[in-house]
Order: sequence, then structure tokens, then C-alpha cells
Amino acid sequence: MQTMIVVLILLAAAAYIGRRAWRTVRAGGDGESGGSCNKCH
Amino acid sequence: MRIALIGNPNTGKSTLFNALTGMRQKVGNFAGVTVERVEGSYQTADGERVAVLDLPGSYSLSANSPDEEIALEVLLGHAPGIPRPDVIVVVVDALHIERNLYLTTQLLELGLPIVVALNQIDAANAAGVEIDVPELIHELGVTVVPTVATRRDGLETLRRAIMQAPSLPLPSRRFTLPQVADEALAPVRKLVMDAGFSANVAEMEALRLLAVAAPEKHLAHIAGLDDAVAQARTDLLDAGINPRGLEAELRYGWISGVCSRNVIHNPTTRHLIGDRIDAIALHRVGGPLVFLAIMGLVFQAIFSWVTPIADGVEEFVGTLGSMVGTLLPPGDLRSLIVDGVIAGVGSVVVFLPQIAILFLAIGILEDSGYMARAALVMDRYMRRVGLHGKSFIPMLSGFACAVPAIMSARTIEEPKDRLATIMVVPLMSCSARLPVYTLLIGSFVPATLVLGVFNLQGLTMFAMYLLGTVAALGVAAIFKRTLLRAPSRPMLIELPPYRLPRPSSLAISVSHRAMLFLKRAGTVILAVSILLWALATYPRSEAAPGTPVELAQEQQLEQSFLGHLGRGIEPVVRPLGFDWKIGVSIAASFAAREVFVSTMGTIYGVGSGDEGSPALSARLEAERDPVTGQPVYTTLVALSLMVFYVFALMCVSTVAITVRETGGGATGWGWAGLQFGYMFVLAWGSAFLVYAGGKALGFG
Repeated sequence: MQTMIVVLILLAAAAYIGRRAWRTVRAGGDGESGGSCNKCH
Repeated sequence: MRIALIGNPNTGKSTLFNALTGMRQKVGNFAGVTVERVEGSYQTADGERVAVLDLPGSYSLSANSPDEEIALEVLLGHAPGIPRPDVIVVVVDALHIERNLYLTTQLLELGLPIVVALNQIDAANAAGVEIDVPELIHELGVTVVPTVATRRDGLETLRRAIMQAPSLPLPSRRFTLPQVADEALAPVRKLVMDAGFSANVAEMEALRLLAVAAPEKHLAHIAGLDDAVAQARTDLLDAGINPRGLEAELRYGWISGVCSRNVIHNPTTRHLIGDRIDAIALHRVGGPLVFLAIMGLVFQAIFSWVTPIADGVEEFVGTLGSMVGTLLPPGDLRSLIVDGVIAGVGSVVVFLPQIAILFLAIGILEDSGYMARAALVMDRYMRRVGLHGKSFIPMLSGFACAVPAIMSARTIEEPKDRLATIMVVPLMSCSARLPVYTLLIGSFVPATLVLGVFNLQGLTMFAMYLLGTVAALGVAAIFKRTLLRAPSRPMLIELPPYRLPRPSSLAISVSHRAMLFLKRAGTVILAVSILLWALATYPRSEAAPGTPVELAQEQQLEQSFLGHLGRGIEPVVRPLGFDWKIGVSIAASFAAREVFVSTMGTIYGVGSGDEGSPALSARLEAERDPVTGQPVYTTLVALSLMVFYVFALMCVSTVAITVRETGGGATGWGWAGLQFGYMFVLAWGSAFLVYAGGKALGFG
């Protein structure tokens, strides 16, 4: 059970970082607002 | 009905926009440019919907910057996808009415109904400025409504005036051209009118074109316009008139007459005190000393005054780790929560008091009116390196975060100055570096008194900020003399009156920043800590029977994925005095600089088992080389690491925003690559000099 929860948490963290990285790289290329500084959206 | 809101920067235009539309706004970009487009709407008492477009802050319609060019195109109905507005609302700062009326006189010639919102009238009155509004209406020929947008005063009158504006006579030019200028500009006017513009607009454009380098997009297609403007300039020069200064001379001449008749300046006590403070704060020698003393005080505050609160937060995080450790059964989940999440995120969250103090200090300096003086004091140094004085504002914002700071460089008209500013802004120490500096200084720099007053820890922190600033100026000087060579222009800056900062606005700005910091800790830093925990924990390795617990944990860490990764990085960072753990933490901090601290927290959390979480600084101080038994972290290593962080661009968001703001695509990536590359070389080289130099001199 513990292992299952740990795996789920890891998958969620990986998905979050992956999505954020993709959005940041895309934002740099196409002129949409980007960046992880929360002040700017 | 569609209205456009326009005004100089800092006139309270955005506050008025929010007050009119109730903050229901849509934010985007104007087509093809990185100029922000903000739209909203409101409903009148009669049920009519009024669409409000908030145009970028502009000092004139001279199209000196992308912001001003867009504003002009929208008002002429030439911006793609945006219909020409029915009414222009020009926001005029009552305290600086003379300068603000310049834009107004240009707008009067566009052939559109206009309403003037005479904003911040309360501040003007408090500063001893009295304005005869009925006479001003008479002189301008349009409705003028005094407003205080922050208190919503005058809002209903303004809304009524907007609805009535289309039924009033259209405004027009309020002064006449000298005959020789009128004749010289006649061919230019004719060409513009033949291209479909109204007589009013043609008059405004003809005068404006005398001072611009080349006709902008909306006029570029008119054949022979360049030649006609060149001929007009020659005719004016022959008549002894400076063509480039003619528009400013005529408009300011008229404005000066209007203000002398309708604006009274009464000297107030506040003015006198302000003048006395300025005599010191803006002095050639005293000014820079005051600036240095104030910044020194801020960093003293971060170390000396916050200690009790910071200790409290640290103890709370430690207790939380121990409590959760005893509540959960042993296993991977407990290790993840205690060593990954609490040790990682907790090690960053403990710096919340320092972050709060930094933003409180920045808020006080801004609200009191000192920041504009600091920009003026620094202008002299900025010009010496070839940068425009306006570059200092983005550089100051860089102390908070490089992302908005790089965006704010949009206000710099000269493209090469703007690029040079963008390239050096990340050298200013942002708030994300604060946890790194604080952790290392707090652990390895003694809190001894220097000269009986200064704390050595505060001085070290100040030195790091100063190092970044000096490097930014030096690198800018190199860029401006090589890749980005262009003449620098003098700076015009408005000095707001001194005032006591309002506690409520300070509280809002500090709590907003604190929330952003906690949000980052709860999102990016949390996710990275979890992933790093996994990399540091797996694959599991079995220690030989009889191996001491600490050694077994160290072996486990070294044989983990993270350990292998660290060994790969180690050769690059070893000459700087760093071990593989520091190398991995530096690499991970590319996600966000604070991640350096959380990664160290996680590595030392995993490395010490899950029996609780003593403070990270204590763990670093106790760390010994397993072979030599010598401390891994010395003051010299800490200094080398801090110097590395002063210069290194370990921030993916900054890279992304640089790509975007330098044109995107291959060009943008090229500039961002150059920025990352030169900063890495500078960081590595400087850290190497510190470490190797320190060793050679017998330190560490």
C-alpha cells in the first residue's frame, strides 16, 4: 500500500514538472506569457 | 460604445481602468508585438455597454517605443483587429499637469471626442498645486473631470462626460504654426490627406514626422513622404528653425501659457522638507553614500533583526518533521514525507522571514519616493557604462525577480539599450538567491562585529548584492562597446514627493510576495523535492553486515541514481571546491534557485536516515569527508559557492522570458544562449578564482 502511494505521488510530481517545463519552453518560443515567476501570470 | 484610456506612465491610469470596469479585464497582446493589451467593459445607467481599452502608458504619440507606436495606431484606427475608439479618455496626473498636457495636445488633433480625467487631484492639492478646472476646459476645448481613482471620486461624472462627449464639437489644434513652418509642411500634409487621413490628423502627423527617424507602419506606404519630410526639414533649417525641436517647442510653449494662467503652485512645508532631503540624497558625493548606507542597513536587517522569528520558523519545521516521523510507520512513504517533502520544502520555507523583510524594505523605499532618487543617483554610473538611465529601473526590479524586470525593459526605446539591459538584469541578485546566501552565510560566516557597528554576516550579504550590481554594470559596458554599440541618451525621471509609506499598502505588498514564495514552495519546489528524493533513494542497496548505520546510508546515497548523476557532474565542479552533492543541487536549481537549498535538505535528509530533521545548516557544518575526516564545507567553499550563485543563470524562467523578449525563435534562443553561456563562464571562473586563490593564500 505504502509503495503504491509513493508511486502515485512520484508520478504526479513528474507530470507536474513535465507540464511546467513544456509550457515554459513553449512560452519562450511563441510569445505567450511564460515563466515560473508567479508575479507574471 | 468603445473608449480608449491613454495617459503618461504613473498617472493612475490602470487604477482608473480598474475602477471603471470593476477589474473585469481580459489581458492579451496586441497582434504581432509583445505589448500588453488590456480590455474591459462596464454598463451605463441606461444599460449601454461601454468597452474600455487600456492603452500602454505613453509620454507622447511620437512613436519612440513599441508601446507608443501601438497607441498611435489604435487611435488612428490602423491597429489590426481593433476598431477605432469612439471616445478617448486621457488620464492626466494633476501634480505633473505641465508634462502630461504634451500628450493631450497631440490627442486633441486626432479628430476624436476627448474627455480629460484630471487624476490624483488630491495629491496635487496636498502638494500645494491648485488648478482652475473651468478655465482649463475653456483652454483645451474638451471636458475636464477631476478624479481620484483610488477613492473612486469623480467616477460617475467621468462616465456621464464620456457618454456626452460624442455630441460635443470635436477638439482641434490649440496653437498656430509660424507661417514659414506652415508653408514648409503643406506638401507633407497634402500627401497624408491624399492617403485618406483627415485634415486634423494630417496636421498632427506633418508636425510629428519632423522629429521621427522614419515614417511608421501606418504611413510607410505613402509614396514620396520621406522626400517631402526631408524637404520640409531643409526649408525650416534655411529659415533658422530647428525642425526636430519644433513640435516640442510649439506644444510646450502653448502648455506653459495655459499653466501660467490656470495652475498655482503654493510652497508647502512638505516641499521644503523634501528639498532639504534631496540636497543630501541627490548630492554628487552624498547621494551614492546615502544609497550605499540604506542598502547596507537593509542587509543588516535581514540578518540581525529577523533572527528570533527565523529561529522560531526553523524550530517549527524541525518539530513538524519529528512529529510526522513518529506518526507514520517506517517505510518509503515516511522517508518521502520526512526526508523528501519536509526536509526539502521545509529548508526553503524557513527563509520566509528574510524574504518578507527584503520586500518590506523595497516597499518602504518605493512608497517613500526614495527609489526614483536612487535611479537618478545611479544614472551617472549607468551613463558611464553606456546604458540609458531608464535601465536602472529594470535592474532594481531585478532584486525581486528577473522575469518582471526583463519585461519592464520594454519601456526603453533604444533597442540596443534594451537588449543590453535584458542581458545583464539576471546578474542582479534576485530574491530566490536569498535562501542560498542566507543558508551559507548563516552557517559559515561568523556573526562578529565590524567597526563595532556592522555585523559581518550582513556585510557579506551586502557584498554579494554589490558584486552582482558591479558585474552587471561591467558586462553592460562590454556589450555596449561591442555587440550593442549605440549612443546613450540622457534620462528624464519624475521625482515624486517624499511621503510616509502607508502601512496598509506595505502589508498588502509584503503578504502578496510571501504568498508567492509559499506558492512556489508548495508547487515547483515540492515537486522537485519529491523527484530528487526518489533519485536519492533508489535503487536500494544492501549494506554489508556490521556496517555502521551512517556509513551504510552514505553508501546508499552514493549508489543511488542521484549519486551516479552527481559523480558525472563532479569533475566540472570539483575545481571550485564543490563535492557531488553540491553539483547535483546546482544542476537541480535550474528549475528555481531555491531548489538548491531544498535539494541539499533532501540529500542530507536521506543521508541521515529518517529519525528527525535537524536544521540543514547544522548538518552542513557537521559534514565530514569520509576519507580525510576534514570538514566538507569551509568558509572558502561557502564563499566560492555564493560567488557562483551571484553570476550563474540558474533559472529556467529567466531563460524563457529572455527568449521571448529578444524576439523569440532562433534570434531569441541565440540571445538567451549567449546570456546563459557568458554568465556560466563568469560564474565558474569567479568561483574558481575565489577557491583556488583562497587556497593559495592559505585559507580554507
